[in-house]
Amino acid sequence: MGRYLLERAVQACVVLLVVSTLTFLMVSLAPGGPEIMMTMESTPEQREALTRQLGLDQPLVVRYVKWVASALRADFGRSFGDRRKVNEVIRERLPNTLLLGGAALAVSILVGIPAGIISAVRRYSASDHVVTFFSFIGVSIPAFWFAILLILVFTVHFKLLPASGMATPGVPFSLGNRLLHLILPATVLATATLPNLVRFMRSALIEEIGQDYVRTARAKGLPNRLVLSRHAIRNALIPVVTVLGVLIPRLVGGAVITETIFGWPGMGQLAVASTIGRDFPMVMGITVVVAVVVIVSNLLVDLAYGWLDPRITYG
Amino acid sequence: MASTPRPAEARVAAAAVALVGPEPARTLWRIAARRLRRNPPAMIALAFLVAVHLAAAIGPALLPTDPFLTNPLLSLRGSSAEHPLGTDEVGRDVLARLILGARVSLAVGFVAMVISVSLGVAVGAIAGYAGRWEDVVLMRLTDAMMALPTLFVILAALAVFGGGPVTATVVIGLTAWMPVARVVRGEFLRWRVTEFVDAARAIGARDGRIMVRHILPQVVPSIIVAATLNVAFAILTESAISYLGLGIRPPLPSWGNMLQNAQIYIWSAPNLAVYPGVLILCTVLAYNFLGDGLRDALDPRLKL
Amino acid sequence: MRVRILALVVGVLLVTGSLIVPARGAPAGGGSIAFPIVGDPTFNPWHPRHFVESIFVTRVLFNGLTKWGKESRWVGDLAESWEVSADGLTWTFKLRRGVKWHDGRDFTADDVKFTYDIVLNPQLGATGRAAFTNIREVRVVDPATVQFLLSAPQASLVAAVGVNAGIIPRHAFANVAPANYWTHDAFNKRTPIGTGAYKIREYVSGSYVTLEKNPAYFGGAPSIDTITFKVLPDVNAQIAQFLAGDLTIIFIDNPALVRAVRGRPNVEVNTLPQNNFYYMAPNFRNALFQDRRVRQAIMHAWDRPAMIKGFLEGFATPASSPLTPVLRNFFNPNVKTYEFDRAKARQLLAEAGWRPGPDGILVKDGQRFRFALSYPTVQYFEPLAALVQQYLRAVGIEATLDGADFNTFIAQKLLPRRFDALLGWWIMPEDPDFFNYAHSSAAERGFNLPMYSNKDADALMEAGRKATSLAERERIYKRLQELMAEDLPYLQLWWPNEIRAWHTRLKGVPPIHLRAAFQWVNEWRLE
Repeated sequence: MGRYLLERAVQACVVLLVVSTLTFLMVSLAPGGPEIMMTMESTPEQREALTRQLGLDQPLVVRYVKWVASALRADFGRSFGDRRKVNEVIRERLPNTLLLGGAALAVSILVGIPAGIISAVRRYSASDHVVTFFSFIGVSIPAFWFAILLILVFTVHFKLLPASGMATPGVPFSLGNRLLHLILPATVLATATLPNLVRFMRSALIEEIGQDYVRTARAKGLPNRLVLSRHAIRNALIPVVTVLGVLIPRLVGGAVITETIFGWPGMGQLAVASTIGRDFPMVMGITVVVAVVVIVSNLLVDLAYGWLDPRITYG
Repeated sequence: MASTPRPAEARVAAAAVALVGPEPARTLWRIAARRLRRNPPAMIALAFLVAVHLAAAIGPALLPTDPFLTNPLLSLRGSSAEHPLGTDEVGRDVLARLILGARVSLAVGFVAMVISVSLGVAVGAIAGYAGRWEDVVLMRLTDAMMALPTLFVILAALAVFGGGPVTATVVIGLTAWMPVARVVRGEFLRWRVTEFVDAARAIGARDGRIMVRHILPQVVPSIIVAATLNVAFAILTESAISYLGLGIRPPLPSWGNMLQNAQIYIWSAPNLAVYPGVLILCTVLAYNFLGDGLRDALDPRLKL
Repeated sequence: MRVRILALVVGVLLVTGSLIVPARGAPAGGGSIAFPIVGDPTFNPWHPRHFVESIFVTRVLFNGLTKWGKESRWVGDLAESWEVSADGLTWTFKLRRGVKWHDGRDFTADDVKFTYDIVLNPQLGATGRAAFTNIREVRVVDPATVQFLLSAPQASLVAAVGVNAGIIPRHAFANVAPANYWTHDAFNKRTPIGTGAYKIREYVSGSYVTLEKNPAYFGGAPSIDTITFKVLPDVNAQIAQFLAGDLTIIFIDNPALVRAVRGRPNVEVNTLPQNNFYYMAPNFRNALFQDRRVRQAIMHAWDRPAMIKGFLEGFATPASSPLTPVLRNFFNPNVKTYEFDRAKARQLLAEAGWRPGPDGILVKDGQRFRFALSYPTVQYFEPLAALVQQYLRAVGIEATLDGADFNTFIAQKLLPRRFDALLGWWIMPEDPDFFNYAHSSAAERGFNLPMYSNKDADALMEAGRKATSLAERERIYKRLQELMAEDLPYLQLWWPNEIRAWHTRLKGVPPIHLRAAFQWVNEWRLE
């Protein structure tokens, strides 16, 4: 185990290096630049001054080496936008994203897995069709549309929930207040992630129920529930767990629309703003964070495989 | 708890098929087709997909209205005789645009799905079955691809290859294969250590054959799920990247960009978002039911 | 079908109009208001990252030397009065006395010099610097007097020192080297110190910033206790929050959104003309557009009243030249105008030698009239481009649409002038000085995007900057408008109106554009 983890750590370093190099290249390839500025009314002199200040007049290789050198000291430099330290901004934003993403993930798991199980066990029943239908609505409904609808119903009409932000401005922090603000964005986000779990749970479990051992166990008179919960579901969880490993990084970097509409100051919003402004250091910082999340969640998935099915080994 | 998948009879049947040759195989297909015909959701789905594709192929030529003709004085109108589904923000006929937009959306959705699923299945199968360094290399590559900032991948592709629907489709396909690969690999990891694979190996089956004939069929349900989810992903992503200048260019419509443009009119004309949204939903549902139906039809365990 | 039902729900909710939270009974004076901003603000008005997301906040925190007055003319802000030397090269500003910074220190002429030294330092690339390129030096005469020494006359300086030109305190940068001004987070991102009506109370990065009233404000103590600027990049979210009562006042960027708020109880939607100009800029280096008759034909080819009525919900006026009626005395209503008339457009094109080809597209000397229409994918430019394309198609001109995201658009089209024609807009200070936008010296590196070059126009724009008497300036700029209407450096679309909505309990917002109205925020009050 220790050796396995060590190997994975070494691999992780390679992945980080590859990702950062590729991203650095792509960022430089992309049209536009931070010196362009989001206004038509800036002069060439201003742009030249900014290019110098931001070090963009240096060759790509020099800039990359400098970046790697400071990144190794966990210093991602300063934003090309408001010039704050990238580390500081990410430290502010990451917990917000983890809270929102975590809530959405919890809802997805708590609702998605049981729904997938029901759908599989009562295959082709009315409840299966209902679950299928709603899960595809979840995939197809545009987040902006669903979010506005929820705000109209729950905020504007029934005045039950706050429409945006993480807390009521000026009110001291309280858990209740934070949770109230969390409900709508977490719902929207979960609606998009949940169908993935439902669909994979359903298909894997159907496959599992069709297996010999389940039939045999049933024939021997083992109660259906027991067969399902002890064996079939556990085996069927392998694709579901894999998908979880894919969803987690997406929640960290990709909850853009939800964060934007609900004014939730998270990483997704930051990622898009820094892409639009070509804020290279911020993009690099966010990419490294997302890469770490990818690596860790896929490692956890691989470890979970061994737990779900002890025969699975690597190598 | 170990599972004992695949009844011995099935394995014998498979072996028989391999020995006897194509004749029984054709029978199997016929059986499958018969099963499919008896599956109402799958048939409805098939009918819907055929209808949508036909409409996309020949509809624009038959339509009396020009999907590009603007008239600001007729903007955001509801249904009428000339405009059955009303008009958009510059007075273009929504129905005509939906029919023309189906071309792009169906093509992008399907082709990008095929790219991402084939790539994902190939990578996942090799990594999961071979293990060792193949697994390490392929999975770390997958990790790296998942970590790259998609927006910049698109912008860089735009800079290198230029815009256009083909580039867009390929880019979408190339940014969506990783989840498929992860899922397929997970399943391969599990099935490769089961008894029937050991048995196949014992009778001297080669790796390629074991992967394709023995393990892959077990993984098909997950692949179908991934494929249907990827169709939806591709259709919706196409609109997001056309905003960046990649993909189809206005005034050409796609369901995705119609949905995107409807965003600002959600207050004055919510229907503008509903029509393309419902079409995307129905298309994805149809792919799903057809996929489910195909899986059942091809399942050797199910009795007729 | 579920989606349709949801759509119905939205529709019904909208129609019933029962969406407004009733105004809470706040006592006269006090209370708090909230306004949306589109991104995380930067509090230093000269920071290279100070853009539209920050200007509303900094206009409340800081004061410039002048500001746009309620009577639609430039009035003193930190400056009490000013005079210009006869040669137009020396401007002397008398500063208001007794003004205090938010931290209690005295505001003096040194702060003005400090601020403009930042702007004039070419190494710093301060935002907004373009308006001040004629300033040679800023000199402190005494603690209440500063002199601006110019290298060329610029009558519009009075406007330039009043637009996003907040004076910042020297003492807040006491131990900071100029090279580190932009990384001085303590001021730029945390605790700005201004002279304005409100001072910083709480800032939550990416979320909101709350300002509280500055009772010692030299313009008179504010009535409203706090203003919260909420970071809300999405316009639909802004509307929803406004309907929910979480925002007191919003700015409606796209007329399509007006229907969401118009006609609701306790909501006032109002609109006023602004000094803002939408256009299609032809590239004068492209042979297609060099013939004036072609440009005039395009002006006849599009139906601007129809676009304004149907597409902009009526919130704009067809432009007769780049200079708007907001400029009052400078505005010339008697210039050549272009009504929608396809026959006339075709005739002008025919006079220019363009004949319809087999597919209806015009041909001249074997060349088709075909060009790429570039635009940024922001605001409503994409549907607008589709409209323009269809209008041009109807007179035999083929335009292909070439949209790009804003940064790419500026980098690849606008700066290298690599475009055939582009759609854009100018938001200008309330002054007729159009030098930067159309003078031939601004063609390659300035904002003269069409790369227009006309000796008569150049002479007028130069004279307008030198003129010291108002009457003379009026005469010059009226002539310039005649010339531009005739010669068309920009193919004029419209002057859009500003649209704002607020809950009716908010009173005292002066009838000037909102960016300027925020500089009078101490007079706003809640009922």
